[in-house]
Amino acid sequence: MASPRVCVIGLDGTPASYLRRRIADGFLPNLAELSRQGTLMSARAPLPPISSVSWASASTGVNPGRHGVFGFVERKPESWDLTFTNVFTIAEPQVWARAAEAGMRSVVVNIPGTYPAQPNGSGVLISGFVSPTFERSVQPPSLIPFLQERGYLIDVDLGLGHKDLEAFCEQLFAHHAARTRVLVDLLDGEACDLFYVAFTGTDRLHHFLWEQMERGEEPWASRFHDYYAAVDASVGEIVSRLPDDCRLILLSDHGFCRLDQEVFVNRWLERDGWIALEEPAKSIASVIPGRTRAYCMDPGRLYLNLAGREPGGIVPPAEYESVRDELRRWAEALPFVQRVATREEAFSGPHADRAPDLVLVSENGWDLKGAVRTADLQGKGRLTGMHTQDDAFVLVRGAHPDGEADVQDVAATALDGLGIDASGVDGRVLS
Amino acid sequence: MSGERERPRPDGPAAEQADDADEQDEAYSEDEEAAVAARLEDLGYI
Repeated sequence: MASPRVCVIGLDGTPASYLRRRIADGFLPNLAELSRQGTLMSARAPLPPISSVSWASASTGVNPGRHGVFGFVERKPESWDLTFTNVFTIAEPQVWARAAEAGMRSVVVNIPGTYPAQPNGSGVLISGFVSPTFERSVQPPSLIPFLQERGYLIDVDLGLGHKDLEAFCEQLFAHHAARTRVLVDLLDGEACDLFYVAFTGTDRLHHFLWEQMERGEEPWASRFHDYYAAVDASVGEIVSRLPDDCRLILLSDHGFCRLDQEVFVNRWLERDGWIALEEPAKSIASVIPGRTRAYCMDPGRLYLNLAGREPGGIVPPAEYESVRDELRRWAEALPFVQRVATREEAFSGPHADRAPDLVLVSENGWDLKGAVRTADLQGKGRLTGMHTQDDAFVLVRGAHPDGEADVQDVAATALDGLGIDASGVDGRVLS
Repeated sequence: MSGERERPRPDGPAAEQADDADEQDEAYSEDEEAAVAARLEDLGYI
């Protein structure tokens, strides 16, 4: 019997509404049983609702203004070149770090944003998306042969999703089976206090097959639901190994819905005179600073081109509020924008000064992009699903809290289950 | 990530930001950055 006091299982991007519907229709028996043992709560992701940001909140218990992750991509200080966020970006201790400080041992697998893998006390850490090398994704490195023997991959070949959906699905299923085998063997073989893992194939499935699932288009709708049957079986296998008094927490880091159009926000800014780009534009580094008052970073993060902050910035700091108000009114009038949050409304903490000046929340179906490679205002490629801030879920076995959960509540609840004081984090303990 | 990570924290916000940027740059080699960019592009993030 495995020993963890707390087990966290993430299903990346799984909507509460999808789970409720499938459970009501008689599918997903293991998740159905768990939803009888604890309330399947709707949950809200931080802004913007993407995995790097949301998993940082789910693992630290704090909002992005404290953990410092606002996207997968950031502009380098004093430059228009891009840099990629990673484990060093996360400015608050994750649950397993606090567990290690308290003398506890953790097994952590496939949490996005944890590359390059850092030593996890005497425990295990295998990084998740985005992990470009296997060698730097595993702590301790002595585990690499164990993973290779089981055919473990950090992620599927996402390029396949654009070229060959059948091959993509095959790899998705094989990859899921390998991940499950590794998790079960780790649970059986590694004594730990905290077992904190994520299945991220769900997110990949949604990105490429959501619309087909909604339409009932075969064979993809069946592939979609079959994949969830496999996820449900994996959850059952893990849960069957846990002690009855283990605090079990399931979550998704954001919701999902059908993607109707990808919206290239910088091209909308360009159309209305906010930004100028050198063509052919490749990234935000193609900006012409002297003719740019605002720009967008993925997915809907708007920044003023502020003098003293951006290289060649032209918006005087004294005009920050008035220009931002003007930009906010412009954004609120866009047909695909549901609402606009200011930095102060969305974030609080020591890193809020690096947060976007405004964050756009789109209507469902309109997927906001910071890309500038296309000159089009909008379009649609092979991706058919998009993230949502709402409709994520949290379920704590044995708990029936009221109201909606927040993804950051997961870390607070895990800390509490380990007997670690959670009063200093933003999340609430769900019990 | 971890409590084991001991990193010097220079004084002042600018020095701290520069320190963070250095660490972010160290996280990925040039080859790795290209691989990361490709994966993010596959999911439509950049």
